[in-house]
Amino acid sequence: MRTLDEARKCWPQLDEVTSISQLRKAVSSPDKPRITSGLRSICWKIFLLFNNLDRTSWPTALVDSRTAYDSLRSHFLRAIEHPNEIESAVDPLSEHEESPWVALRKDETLRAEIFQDVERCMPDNMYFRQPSTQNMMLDIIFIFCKLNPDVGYRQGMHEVLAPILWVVERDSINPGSIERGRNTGTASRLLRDVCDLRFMEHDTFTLFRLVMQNAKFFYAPGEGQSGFSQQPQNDTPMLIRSKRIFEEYLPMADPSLAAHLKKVDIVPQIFLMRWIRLLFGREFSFNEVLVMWDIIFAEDSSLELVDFICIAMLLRIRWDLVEADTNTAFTLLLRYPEPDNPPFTFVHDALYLRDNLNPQAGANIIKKYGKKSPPISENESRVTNHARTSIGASNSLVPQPGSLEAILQDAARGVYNRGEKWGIAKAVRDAVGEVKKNVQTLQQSNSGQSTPRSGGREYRKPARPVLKSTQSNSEVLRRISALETRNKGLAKMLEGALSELWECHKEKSDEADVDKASLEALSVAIAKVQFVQVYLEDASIPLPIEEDKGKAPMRVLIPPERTSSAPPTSSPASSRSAAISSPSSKPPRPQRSIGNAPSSKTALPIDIPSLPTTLKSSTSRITAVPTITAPSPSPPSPTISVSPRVRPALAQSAFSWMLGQDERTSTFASASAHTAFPSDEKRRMARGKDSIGGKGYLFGEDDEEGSPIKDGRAKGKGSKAEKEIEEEVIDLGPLGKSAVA
Amino acid sequence: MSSKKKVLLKVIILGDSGVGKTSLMNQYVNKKFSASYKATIGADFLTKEVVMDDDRVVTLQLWDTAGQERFQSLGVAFYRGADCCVLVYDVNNSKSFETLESWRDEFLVQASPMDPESFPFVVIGNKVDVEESRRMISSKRAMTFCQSKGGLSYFETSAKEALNVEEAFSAIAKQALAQEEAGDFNSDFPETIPIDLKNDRDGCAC
Repeated sequence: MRTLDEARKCWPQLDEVTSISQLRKAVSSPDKPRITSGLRSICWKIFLLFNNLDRTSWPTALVDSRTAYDSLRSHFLRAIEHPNEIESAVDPLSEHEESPWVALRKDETLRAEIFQDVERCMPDNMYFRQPSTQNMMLDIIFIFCKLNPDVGYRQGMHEVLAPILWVVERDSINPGSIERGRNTGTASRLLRDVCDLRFMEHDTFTLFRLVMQNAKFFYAPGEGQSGFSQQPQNDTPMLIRSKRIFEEYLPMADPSLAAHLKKVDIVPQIFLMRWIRLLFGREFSFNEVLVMWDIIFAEDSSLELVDFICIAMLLRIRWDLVEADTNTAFTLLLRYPEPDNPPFTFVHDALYLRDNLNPQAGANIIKKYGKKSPPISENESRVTNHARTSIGASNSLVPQPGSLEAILQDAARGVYNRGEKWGIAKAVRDAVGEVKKNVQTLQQSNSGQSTPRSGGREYRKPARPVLKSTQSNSEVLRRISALETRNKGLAKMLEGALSELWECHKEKSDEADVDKASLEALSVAIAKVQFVQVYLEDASIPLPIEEDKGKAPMRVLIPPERTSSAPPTSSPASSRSAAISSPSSKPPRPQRSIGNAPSSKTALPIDIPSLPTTLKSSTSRITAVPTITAPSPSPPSPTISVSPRVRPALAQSAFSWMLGQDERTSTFASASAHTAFPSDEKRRMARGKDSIGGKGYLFGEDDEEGSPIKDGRAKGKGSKAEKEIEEEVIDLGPLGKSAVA
Repeated sequence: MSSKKKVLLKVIILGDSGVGKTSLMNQYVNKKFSASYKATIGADFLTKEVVMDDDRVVTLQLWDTAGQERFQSLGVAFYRGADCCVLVYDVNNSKSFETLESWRDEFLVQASPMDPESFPFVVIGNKVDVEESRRMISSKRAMTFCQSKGGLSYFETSAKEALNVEEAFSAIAKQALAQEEAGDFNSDFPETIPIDLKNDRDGCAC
């Protein structure tokens, strides 16, 4: 707790920041004094909850989240706090499943389990020894567990909560301590509101829930797992993640270190489980960890960055590890040596590695801290490059947004230069590829939330930011129009490059001994680039689809808010894919004769990423089209319900709309429906439904009546025909437009 | 005497959350007790060199596990190659005693030792320092359980007061070493494999 005057001293630092990215930079900067030193909880709220610097929107966001917590609290704690009020004819001693008494006993067991860990959390910190603190933590975790019965309570969650509570508590202001009539300026009022001591528990819960929205997958059980069982079970998401870090990422950054650790039988999940679940909370000192979290939340609240932080940590002690036997290596990893440089440098290294995962980058990281660079063999780097392309879109596609123009120009110039060298057609095709890729990157960088990153993982980013009930539609529209403007600018640039190309073509054709075939190929290729330019210029033109065997099909990325991701615990049957086929009509404009111009007949699948932890399924493709045909997947149910899990407890509650998961799992149509309504409206609608499965999804509803999807534009046919494959036509005309942008 | 081969023994400590696994391990290895150990996340490990009766030095690799973790979360690789499994319960907590059997069964599934019947388990009833009136599981009841599981070794300890901890772990080391050597024996004599094959064939004949 602190006084308003103390808090006010830090506030001007925030006044200097004009954009989220500027704040991100300021938070990541190693320069002291840190902006987070006095504004940490506010920065966390900005990055996790507000997602903007528009202070006028903050009070609404706070009121919403605080009201939500109040409702959740009274709902889930009623029986615990007032067992006498249970109105039930069932005998309290009955073991009947439905008995509220059985439910109460289960809740009490869960609370005892949580409390056992809360009690021994942060043993050296007096604040966490106070019963009031411990009870607050217990309630917060308990409510989280009730909201996430698929994960429940797992040890370690309490140590994700503790730092959050600490940070919120430190910054909170007791409104009672403020003298009447003082500090009534807008800034003071806002500050007092954002840091209101009375809502410390509410705000802690909200931040915890937002962090856990992604972190819960570090704790989730594998498919079909529950307690003790004799059955061989599927790997947990954590095991899959550990494997990916150890067998995919580490070999890319440092092949010989990876080989050595494998040789000495290091089982990665043993140390990675603690590193990742606690977000490095036990590996470094508490205050250092807070600084790490500052940067993690600022740079990547989806927490995918943790994988690369682990790689950075392994690289930092690389030379110790390669000389270690099994015991020594495990000791190093489970008792990570105190680094010479502050631990936030691991996050900086991780950001670099995320964009450059190769042996050279690994060596750079090792050298950076005064260690000898490991030998990089020609062979290794080649193997690694190959591995890189095999895991999907490569990291090299992530230049800084600002340098995009330069890259496009380079691409055009590259076409010209390479044309001389190795056959023009190929070079032009490459250029088309590069343009495509850059458009992708551009769209990501313009979408505001999504940091450019590798492997298509951005598709799994939670849709949260734009789904915020507080986020106005105008914000989204503003962003889309900015994107359109930018696309137009790019189109213009591409136009310039194209005229150069045509000129080169003309020169060539004027030459006497020119190869006809290659000239033909060149014109086709240039036409293709032109095609891209036209599409870039006018976002309203639906994109025809190219079925290309060798290369990646032409893709238009959907902005992150339109993607959906299923929780990794979903069953294989739930990994449904729907095909969005383009209309049979040709696109209106680009009618220039183009040799093998993309045919518009082939269907373009949307792969709804079903397993966030596997890279292969993470590429979504979508194009904007007036109609969407969604053939049902082969598994029995013809509906696309991305949230296959049943949650009896919540399904019946009026609070199902509050679920974080809800936001993650909604398809883009329902996502847009979410954004289209103020939260009250949503709540009202959610009450009307009696289960999550009954909520409006793009590709049909579980709802027996087949009630229309909320936005009224999309119609989903409810279906009872279990095994039949059925097509559903959904009119998404107005939506299509924005999807292209 | 001449064979100075470095022996590494892998010991896995299992049991419900809060029974004192971490405390036992720390008392044994570091001779320290703290009333405030944080919950173990995933697994932790300590090593200790032990001089055996025949003056041989072996390295004990002690694996402490999170009591709440179910097996699948650590993965089978973690359990493979274990030489001894320690099952810990709290004598003042009957639930922690009742789950011992499932801990044992699940361990056998995950570690899949060559001969599950003879795989060494050591049962430890911890926290005997707590006042007698709070005790829930009598020595007799615990010993009956150990007998019913094929005569498992049983120790009652107090990590807090360093009571019986040394004794329990030296028994653990002994049994782990015996298991390790039996494993070596088996791999030196491939005759054991045809027996297995014969059993398999019998199975198919049904």
